[in-house]
Parts: sequence; C-alpha cells; structure tokens
Amino acid sequence: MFESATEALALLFTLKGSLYLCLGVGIGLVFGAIPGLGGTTAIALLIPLTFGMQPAEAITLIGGVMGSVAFGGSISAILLNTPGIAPNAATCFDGFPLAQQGKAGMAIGAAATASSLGGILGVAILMAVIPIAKEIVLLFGPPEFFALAILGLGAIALSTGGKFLRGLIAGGVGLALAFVGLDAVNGGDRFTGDVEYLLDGVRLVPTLTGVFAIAEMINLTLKGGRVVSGDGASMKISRVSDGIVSVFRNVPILLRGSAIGAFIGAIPGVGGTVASFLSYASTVQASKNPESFGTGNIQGVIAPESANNAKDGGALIPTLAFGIPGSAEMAIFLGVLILHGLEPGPMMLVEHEGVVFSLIVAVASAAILASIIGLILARWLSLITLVDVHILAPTVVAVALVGVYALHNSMGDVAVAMIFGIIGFLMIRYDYPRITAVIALVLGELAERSYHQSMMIGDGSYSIFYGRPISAVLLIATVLIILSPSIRGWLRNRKREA
Amino acid sequence: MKSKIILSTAAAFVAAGFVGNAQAAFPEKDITFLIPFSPGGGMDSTSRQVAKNMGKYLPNKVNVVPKNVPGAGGRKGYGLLAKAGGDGYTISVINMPGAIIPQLTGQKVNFDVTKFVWVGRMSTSPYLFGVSGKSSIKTVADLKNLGRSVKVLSTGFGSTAYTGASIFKTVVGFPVQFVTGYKGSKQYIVGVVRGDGDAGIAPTQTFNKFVKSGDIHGVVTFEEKSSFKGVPTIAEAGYPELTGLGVERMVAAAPGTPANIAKILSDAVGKAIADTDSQAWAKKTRRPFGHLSGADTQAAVDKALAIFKKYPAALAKSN
Repeated sequence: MFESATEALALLFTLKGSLYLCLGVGIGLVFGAIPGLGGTTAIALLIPLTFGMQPAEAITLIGGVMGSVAFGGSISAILLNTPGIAPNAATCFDGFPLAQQGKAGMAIGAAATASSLGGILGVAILMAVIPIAKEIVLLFGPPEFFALAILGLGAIALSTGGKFLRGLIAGGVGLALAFVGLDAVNGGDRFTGDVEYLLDGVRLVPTLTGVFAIAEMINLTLKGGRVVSGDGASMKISRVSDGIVSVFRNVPILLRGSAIGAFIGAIPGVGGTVASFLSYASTVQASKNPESFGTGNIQGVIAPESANNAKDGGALIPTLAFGIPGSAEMAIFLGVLILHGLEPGPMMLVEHEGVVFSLIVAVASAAILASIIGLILARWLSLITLVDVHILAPTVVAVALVGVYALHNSMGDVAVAMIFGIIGFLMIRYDYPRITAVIALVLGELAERSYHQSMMIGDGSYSIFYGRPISAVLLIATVLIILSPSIRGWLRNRKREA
Repeated sequence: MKSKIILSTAAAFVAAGFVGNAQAAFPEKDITFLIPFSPGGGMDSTSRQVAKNMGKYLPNKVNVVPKNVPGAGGRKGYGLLAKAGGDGYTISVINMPGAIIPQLTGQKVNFDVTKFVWVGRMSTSPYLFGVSGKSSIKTVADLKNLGRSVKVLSTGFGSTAYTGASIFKTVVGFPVQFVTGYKGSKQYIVGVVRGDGDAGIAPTQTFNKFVKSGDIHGVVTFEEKSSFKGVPTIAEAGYPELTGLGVERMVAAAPGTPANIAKILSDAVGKAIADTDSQAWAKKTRRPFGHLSGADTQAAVDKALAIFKKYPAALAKSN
C-alpha cells in the first residue's frame, strides 16, 4: 500500500504531474467561484481532454479540480454573499458580514486555511477508514439514511436564529419542491403538470444560483453603493494573516467540522451542502455566545469551510468500497475510470491501488495549492467589495446565468434560476431564512425515498427504525436536537431560580 | 410560347436534379448522434466510440457528432428524436427495453418507439439474477420453493430492472415482493449484500466484481453461454424463451427516415463496430460489441414486444 502512495506522490514532482495539478486547481478555483458552475461541470468538460492521457495523469487533473472547487466557492460566498457551490452557502452567514466590515482579507485567510487543513483531515479520516470502508457502507441502509435525513431536517430548527416559524415555513416549501418530478419508488411523475423539464425535479444548482446569487444581486442593487458599508478608505484589506492564525486558535472547531464533513460527505447525493450546514449549526450550538453568529464571527467561516473540503475524503468512502459515487463529482470520476478501462467496484482498492492513491494525493495537494493561491490573491480579490454595484450586479447575474445554462444546455434551468432569484429576493425582504428551504430541498427526496424503502424492507413495520442500533441512535439525537433550545432555556431558568 | 416551353423544361430538369441530388448525396452535412444520457456512463462511452468511427464509412466522409441530452431517464432525448425530421441527419442511441416500457405501461410520453427506424444494435447486456453470497437460495428451484415471496431489490417501477425481474418471475412462476427506490444497479446490489432483500437483477458486467469477491452468488444467467462458473443459463434452467433478457443498446433514426438512407446508416454502424479501433476499445474496456444490422434489430425489437404481449402481467405493478 505504501508503494502506491509514494508512487502517486512521486508523480506530483514530475513536470507533467505538477502541471496537471496546477491546471486542475486553476480550473477548480474559477469554476468554484462562479455561481452556477462547479466541480461537476468542470470535470464533465474536461473528460474529452483526458482521452489521450494516462489514467494517473487524468486523475491528477480531476483531483486537482475536486480539491479546489470548495475554496473557490468560498471566495464568492465571502465577497458577494453568493455561494459559488451549494456547500458554500453556510460560509455566507458570517463570511459576508466580515467583508462588509472591511475584513474580507481575514475571512479569506481563514477560509483558505480551514479549507486546506479540512481537506487534509478529510483524506486522513478516509485513509484510517479504508480497511473497514466496505463494512461502513454496509452498515448504512435505507433506515439509517432516513434517520440521517430527519436529523438534517431537524437541525434546521437550530439554524433559524429566532425565526422559528418562518424557518419552518421555508423548510416546508423546500420539502414540497423536493417532491416534484419522477418518483423513484413508484415510477410515476408528480406535480410536473406535464412539463417535461420538471421530470427531473426542481434542480438544485439553478435553484441555489437563483435563491442566493441572483437574489443577492437584486438586493444589493436596490441598496446601492458597494458591498462594503461605510467609508472604503478606512478599510484594511491586509488582515489575511489574522485569518490564518484564527484557524489555529480554533482547532476543536476545525476538527469537528472535518469529522462532520468526512462522515456526512459519504452519504451519496446530500453530502457537501448538509455537511457544511451541520458543521456550522453544531458550532453555533456549542458556542458560549451563539448570538454573535451571523454578524461576523470568524468561527462561522472556519466551521463550514473545513467541512466542505473534508467531504471529498468522505465521498470517496462508498466510491472506493463499492463503486457507488459518494457525490456528483465522484460519479463522473467513476465514468472517467471506466473510459480508461478501469472497472470500479468492490475490488477497486485491490486491483487499482495506484489510481486510487493518485486521486487521494491529488485532492489533498489541490486543497493546499488552492489555499496558497487564494492567500496570495486575497488582497486583490477583496477589492471586489469596492466595486460599484451597478457594475458588479449585472456582471455576476450574467455570468451566473451562463453558468447555469452550461450545466445541461437547458433554458429551463435558466428560467428556474431567474424565478428563484425573485423568490429568494422576496425571502430576503420579508426575512425568511433561505438556507432552511435549500436544506429541505436537498434532503426531502432522500428522506421520502428512504422511508418507503425502509417500509418495504421491514414489511411495513416501524420497528425497522428503532430495531437497528444506528438509526435508533440517530433518531434519538434528532429528538434531542429539536428539543435542545427548550432544554437550554429550561436549564437556564433553573439556574436563575437557584 | 417556345421560350416558355424551354424555360419550363429547363426548370423541370433543374428541379429533378435537386431532388435526385438530395437523395443520392446523403449525407451532405454532419450527422447528430443523440445520447439521451449523461456523459461518462456505459451508454455514453459505447455511443461515442461508434460515432468516432462512423464518419469514415459514410459517403462524403461527414462527421458523426455525439450530443448528450440527458433527462428523465432518456425520455428527453427520445422526444427529440421523435421530433427530428426523417432526413437521416439525427440518430440516437436507444436503451431497450427501457425506451418502450413507458408507453407500454400507459405513461404519457411524446415519442413512439415503434415508429423509430432501426439502424442497428451496438451491444447487449444480458442479465444475471443474483442473491447474497450468504443466502440459502442457490437455484431457480429454490426461488419457487422458498415458502414466501422473494424480496427483489430494484430501481423504480417502469425501469428495465423492475420489468426484467417481473418477466422472470411471471414466466417461472414464483412470488416476488419488490423493494424499489434504489437509484441504480450498484446501489441495489450493495443492498442485496447488506441484507435489505433477497435478490437483484442486473447486467452481468455490473455483477462481475461482486461475484468475484464472493459477495454475490449467481442464481441464473440470461446469457446464451454462462460466463460464471457453476451458474446455469436460463435455457439450462428450463426457460429458453428468456435467453437474452437484458438491456440492449440500439441505434435508431427519426421516424419517417427512408429505407435507403437507413441502410446507409446501418452499414456505417456495422463497419464502425468492426473497425480495429473499436474492437481494441472493446477489449480494453471489457465491453464487447453485439452488432446487429438494422433489419435484424427490427426483428429483435419485435421479439421483445411479443414477449410483453404474451405476458401482460409482467408489466403490471406487483406489490
């Protein structure tokens, strides 16, 4: 095993290897930063380029993209309140207020450091878990996925920041939208109104682009001026080192975020978005002053950024164990393997060790390289916050819509983005949390499908949920999480009385 | 008067020349090869490989340009083919029987597979019916004598796997309870290994690694000749009419494509597959071709439709 690892590392030190890595990182950063694009689009576009390459080289290129996309997305999240990719949504909560206060450099510095360390930790967790990867994947069946989805939905209660009822309403709308499309269980279509585009459901990327990117630009345009509030001259851009140091002052948050990222990232389909959100929510929960979150608490940047890079390590777990892609990028990665004549499956680690390690090494290296580039460019990137909104907003909207169209060459996607742009703006205006709607949209399908599958497996009895240890534990955790605000309040009152 | 006659005769000749040219000069421009599936999968790679080598075997050596149009399990692409003109410039890969199940089960679709003009079959992936390596079920007879329903894990109702398992259980005659909702064959095969259910049906290639590692035991294979040691073919198990049950990758031109153009396309597909480059690719990626000409493909499609007609219960929802 060590042989393959050192071989893979050696490739990086060759001219060709490092060139492919740099190219991958460059593409990943750009595609990550532009809302509407993302790792999946980038890798899909690169596939034809890989035809003539050796497998290890192709994988270095793809690993480079995968490891850098999440950090690229954090840049737009911090500077424009617009997540580059879905998992960056939680970074906006505290990253953007920091930018508004003129501390964009610090936020980017923290995001860069958290991303690279999170990525490495995610890979480390993966390596530790590889020997039992198969067993882990076998332990998580439909009942466990249902429990996890419910846990994620319950955690929404944590994130509403006092707007509990509005958060639930937004979540409810997200859930309703999640059920549109082809039903995976019964094979029929629901709520599509005979519109063929809707057979695939309400697609996440156009929705997200609309609800965050476009809505934010509408909001900014109506506000006028620039991203940074107040006098630009008084702003200090060069606090990048403060950001880097802050990560090392918050190591427990980094570790927890990475663990959540790696673990949840292994769940096919939901990984990154839910992981970064849960990492943020749990950090708020554990904090001594939860009210400071949302106003520019640097911990609120470290938590999600470490999670959304660690998720790549997690997504590799089912991918390596059984050839089941842990994320959309992994699905395309598997396709690339097939194109090069390598068959993914339970024996992948045994038969294609070299390829696997090339990917792991590439992803980890990419996270570091991307962060270094980000740190160098942080000062200049922060200048975006000084650009007048009349130039900024149309540019971002135009680029985002082009990115959304590039996904599937579908004007339907563009229409969805624009419609949700308006809906998202209305949610900003009337103070309905958008993140709960998005999380519900992401998790709704998994929750419903897993529920029906569990019922079929368990012959209609609910005992399948509490009879299995893992799902039972998760469901209890969900109950505790939902009750936690009330429990906390009750404890606080008792203290006061005492 | 004379000039009028000369003029109209000349016009007639010119017109005839155009019409004749249109037919004789096919193809005059690039041909679009629709792929109603996402890039990177089996449908995509096989189609791209054939498209790559088709151009040089067509008159005028035009390009055959692959275009991914994923959506709704292929329906988006099939709809596009149905709307395309019958001039031979749009062809598509068609997953059979996947493409025809929606209209046979009464779902509303904007295409009619029976109107597609078949231009060839690229490959076929016959199924294997497998159980967990730890299961007590070992043979087809065990399926019938289990004393309870066999829990079959599958993708949703209307998918090729669900329909394939349905046909199998209808013909052999054993009770089945489906657990659907899995997103793909790998997911439900892992489900079988995990113990979510008893069995699953999928192309032999998808099962290969699992059988090799011992996680899955093959009960019966629908190939003509079994490629799994100790696993009987469906013919050996006593049901030869089900030989070949599986997924086939056909190529079709739009409805209304004239026969002579279809023949040109069919020949090009055949030569593209026989090309040394394609054969080398098939060997390297372990995806053998199973070529049939356009006419033979039509016969294969008719045979599949006949089985559906003979066993209408196979298309009904089981649970």
